[in-house]
Amino acid sequence: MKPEKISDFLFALADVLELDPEALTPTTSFSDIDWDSLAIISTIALADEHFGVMIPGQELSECKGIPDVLDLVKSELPS
Amino acid sequence: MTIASSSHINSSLHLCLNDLRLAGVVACLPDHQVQNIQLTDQFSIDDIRQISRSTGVESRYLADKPVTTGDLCLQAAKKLLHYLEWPLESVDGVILMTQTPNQLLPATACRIQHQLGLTKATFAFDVNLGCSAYPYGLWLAGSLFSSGVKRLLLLAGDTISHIVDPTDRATALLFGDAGTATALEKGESDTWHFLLGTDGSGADCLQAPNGGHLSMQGPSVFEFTLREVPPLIERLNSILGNQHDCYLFHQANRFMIEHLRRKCSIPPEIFPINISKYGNTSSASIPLLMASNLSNSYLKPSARVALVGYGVGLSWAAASVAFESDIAFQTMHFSDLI
Repeated sequence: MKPEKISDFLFALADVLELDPEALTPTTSFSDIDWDSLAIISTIALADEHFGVMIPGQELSECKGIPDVLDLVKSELPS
Repeated sequence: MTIASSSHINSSLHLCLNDLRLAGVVACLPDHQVQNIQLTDQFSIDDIRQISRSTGVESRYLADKPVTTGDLCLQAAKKLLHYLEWPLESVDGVILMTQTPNQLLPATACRIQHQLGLTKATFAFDVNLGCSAYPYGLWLAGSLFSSGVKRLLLLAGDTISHIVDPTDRATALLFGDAGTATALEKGESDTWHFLLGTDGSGADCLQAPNGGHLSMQGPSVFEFTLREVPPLIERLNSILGNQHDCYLFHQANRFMIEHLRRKCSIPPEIFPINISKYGNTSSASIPLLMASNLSNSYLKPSARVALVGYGVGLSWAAASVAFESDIAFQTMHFSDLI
């Protein structure tokens, strides 16, 4: 995944979650973020929009931070 | 929640009906309008703002008990019959699509047959479907005309607020109540196409046990919708060989339906949304959208309209319906005089 695509995705996700634009980075942990069903739905939609992949909601709910989310996106991308 | 995967292209049944006419749609809203921002007893202002921003719901109409689904649908049906000047004896049947009937038994449609004053030579029954109910109902009702039916009332309504846990963030600020009536009669329309599907492996995603509260696994429902709906629209358009003149989607959640709209490349001007005012009204949402957002001037004569429902079941249905130019669309409130 190109770094600029990742940063676009994280920027859009921060906007949906009403966080500062720079609040999410590829290493952000969810310890300070309300990772609830709204956040998960937003992430499913944005991953679909930005990367054209469908991330399973159940697996997203188990993510501990952005690294886990990006791993899920990578695993769904065609190799 | 694991939902069985299915083929994107062939996961819906394609059925056709001919010679139908949609004469009118009336939606009846409860009298009581609630602004979400007022519900600070249950939720913080920040929570309400964040949830409303995502779902798009700012207000809803809620049926104060003892107003029932049947009451709302009855008022809508009375108004519709009055407006169309259909003699009571000309109505052959009543079908009610609902997940919140007045009682477990009898079927609410039976009470409505009596309350409307329809003759005893009338069929009446309920069907338990929610988000996909309306296009399913059009198909079911339309199918009966080949057996000799000449006119019928298709009712679709729910009072989901009666089964919502008022402290549940996922549902308490989302659902509204409404009852609708649609008049169908024999006509000379172009073919109506239906794509119908079911995936009961996801039944637990949206459920309410007997006497219990509604529970919703939002991410699983969204995942299902994203997987099934875009190919459904692609297939519906391919049947017609073109885009439709208007797309009426079940008003599930604004974020979800806007995402689906973009994914399906549907222009916003032919994709009305009314969830901000009414919330998700389950089986009533598509006919409420018709009653509140369509006017005859909006649609060209013989417009092709796509009606798309998806959700609880899991169940989905898309209908491609030929609208004539003289359809009556009206909204009303429960206490309005008829």
